[in-house]
Amino acid sequence: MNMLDAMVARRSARRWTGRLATFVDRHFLALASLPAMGIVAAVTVVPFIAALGLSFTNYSLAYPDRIRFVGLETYVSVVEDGQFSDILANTLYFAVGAVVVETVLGVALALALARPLRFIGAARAIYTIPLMTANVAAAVAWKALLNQNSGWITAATGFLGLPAVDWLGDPTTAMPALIVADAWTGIPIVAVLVLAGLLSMPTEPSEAALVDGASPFQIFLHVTLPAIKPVLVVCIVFRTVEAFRQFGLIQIMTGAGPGIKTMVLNYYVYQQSFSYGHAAYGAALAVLLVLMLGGCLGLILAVGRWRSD
Amino acid sequence: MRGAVALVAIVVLAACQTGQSGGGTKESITMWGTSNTLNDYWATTLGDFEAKSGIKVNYLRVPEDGYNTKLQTALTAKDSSFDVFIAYYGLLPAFKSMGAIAPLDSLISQSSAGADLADIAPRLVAACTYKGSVYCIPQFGDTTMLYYNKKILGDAGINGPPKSWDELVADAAKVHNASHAGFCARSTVDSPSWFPGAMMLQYFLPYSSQNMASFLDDKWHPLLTTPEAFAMASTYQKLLKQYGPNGIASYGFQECEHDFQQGKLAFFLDASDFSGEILDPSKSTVVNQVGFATIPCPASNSAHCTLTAPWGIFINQNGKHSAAGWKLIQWLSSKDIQTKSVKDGQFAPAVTRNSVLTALSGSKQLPTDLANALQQGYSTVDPLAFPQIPEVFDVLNPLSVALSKILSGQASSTKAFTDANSQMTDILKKAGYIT
Repeated sequence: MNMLDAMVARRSARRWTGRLATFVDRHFLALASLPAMGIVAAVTVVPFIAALGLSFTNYSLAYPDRIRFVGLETYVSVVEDGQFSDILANTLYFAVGAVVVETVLGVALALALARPLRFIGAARAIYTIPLMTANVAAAVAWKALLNQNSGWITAATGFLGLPAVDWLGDPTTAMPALIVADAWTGIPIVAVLVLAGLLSMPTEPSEAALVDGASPFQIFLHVTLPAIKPVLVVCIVFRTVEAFRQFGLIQIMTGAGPGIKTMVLNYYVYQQSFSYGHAAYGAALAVLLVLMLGGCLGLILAVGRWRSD
Repeated sequence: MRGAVALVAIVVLAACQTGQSGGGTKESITMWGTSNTLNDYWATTLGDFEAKSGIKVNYLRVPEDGYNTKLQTALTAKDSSFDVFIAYYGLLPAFKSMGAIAPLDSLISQSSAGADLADIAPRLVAACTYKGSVYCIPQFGDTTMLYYNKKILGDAGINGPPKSWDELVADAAKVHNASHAGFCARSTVDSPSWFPGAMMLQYFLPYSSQNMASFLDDKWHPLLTTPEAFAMASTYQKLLKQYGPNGIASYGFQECEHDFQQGKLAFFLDASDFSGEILDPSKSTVVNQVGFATIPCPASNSAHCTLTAPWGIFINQNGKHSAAGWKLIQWLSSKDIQTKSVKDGQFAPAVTRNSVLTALSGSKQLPTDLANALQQGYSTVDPLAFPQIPEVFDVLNPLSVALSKILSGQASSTKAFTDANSQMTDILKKAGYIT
């Protein structure tokens, strides 16, 4: 009897092991991604849901005991905020400006670096230096460069006989100056990604087009661009996200001034939430920021897909 | 939800904690402060306190940027991992509202030597007082200070510091030229420019004990559209736009201080706590040329024309070692430590005690005119110049934005102040002060 029981138990264990192996086999990808999904959920989905919940309250750091549900009242306050439309416009100005400059110049740089020239390896390495520079260090350096009295840019413009400009204190130049500083790290990022796309492209279509008499611009437009489009869409998506998230550069270089000329939504979220303790108001702004970013990304992806079809 | 917020804050702060509890049987306390000259100096003196008291002190210093946020988050979360903290006195009402601080009155009265508050400038103690109770001991004084370069003034035939703002404008005009600017005050929104702006408003606006703050009337309405405020805005614009350094719209206090230290500036208006760095020969080329002054009060505001922004030392109500924390506070604010700190070359506003100011006046570290200007400033300070409400920084921000708009040419002084008045009103309405 004992032997029989042991045999049954062994057979049963084998059956379960086999079933488990089959299950793991069938659902390997889902199981392998579970830890990553869990971490993403913990650090993004949960905080977003918490922020969403917070935005329907009146929670303030100064009055934690007075928290209560207020429905859409906080969102109404945001819309009625006299500064909100200006801040929204600033956000779009910075994001569109930065993404366009970085994409156009990044692609141009990638095309230059893709050419099989002498010392091209060294040139590629040099152009990736900004990628290795800390955001804060870059911001401090740019602030110094743009100083009206002692900055190198003033020295250069002075050498050319141009007047000294208070780049960061003038309402017309402050935002463009921030875009340039952001582009300093953004352009190499786009260039590196696009360069990878260019180097992995088959050369035959370009050569065939050349034989058919196409100009370099025509080859770029009708052969190269469609080939690197998936990479380009990814670059634009990444840079758009980065532009909406930009904070350090603005805090160090302009502090959102002069006036509120460089105040963007992300900075306003920080200011309201932490400088003034309006946590619910900051949460509502953060939700709107996420929705706005989501809308922009949706548009970018839709345009990318439409052009493919 | 508050529990979750508290948990997150405690985890983050615990991760940032650098000090560990002392070993052995010593009682161990933790103090939080920012990383600055005085606080860093204090760290070097704590060994003596530990030896004398048998209390081990973990002194956590973090950069000033973000300190308030970190502190307020911890206090909201009832964090008990620290016992004593150093903070800007203007946050006192917010701390009180959070239930994070307890009155020090009983500790003061029970101390054998007391904290000897009578020796500390009364208006600095008043700044640490809220609704009749003392909640902090002033860490350093800080008051309105006009730094001036005696050589630049002398070369222009000016014999002494100005006696009024009109005189200051005239002097700045006289000395302003291509090699040095006439006047500088921090001007960027985030420096923040409301600080010198409030110093000037404090002088220009007539004092009333009924006001809720120097720039808010007795019904909480802002006074930025009064003729006196417009006069202040116009003077500010003239001083900084006409006689300020090039690029003044992007000048913070570091830039103003640097220009002054390098002899490129005749007048510099800011807090008195810059005096240490201005008198430091390793940083300043004008050590032997610098003069210190406060502009005498006008008749309309004869006793409340200067500003103070002291930082205070508080006891965390949720901490576990308030008695040991109180011993540390008394030691740090004692006559001996204040005297030693000045003799060791620390900045003079660390002295809040009249006895020390008098004893050290005329020394190398505390020139007579600096000691006099500090005492004059402390005696004419209005400790209630800022509204004692948690929304204080929220309320002041429109002033910063308005001043920045004036300097960057985005608005006239009248328009900028009218807009700021309306924004302040909205904030105060939303917070329920204006009904």
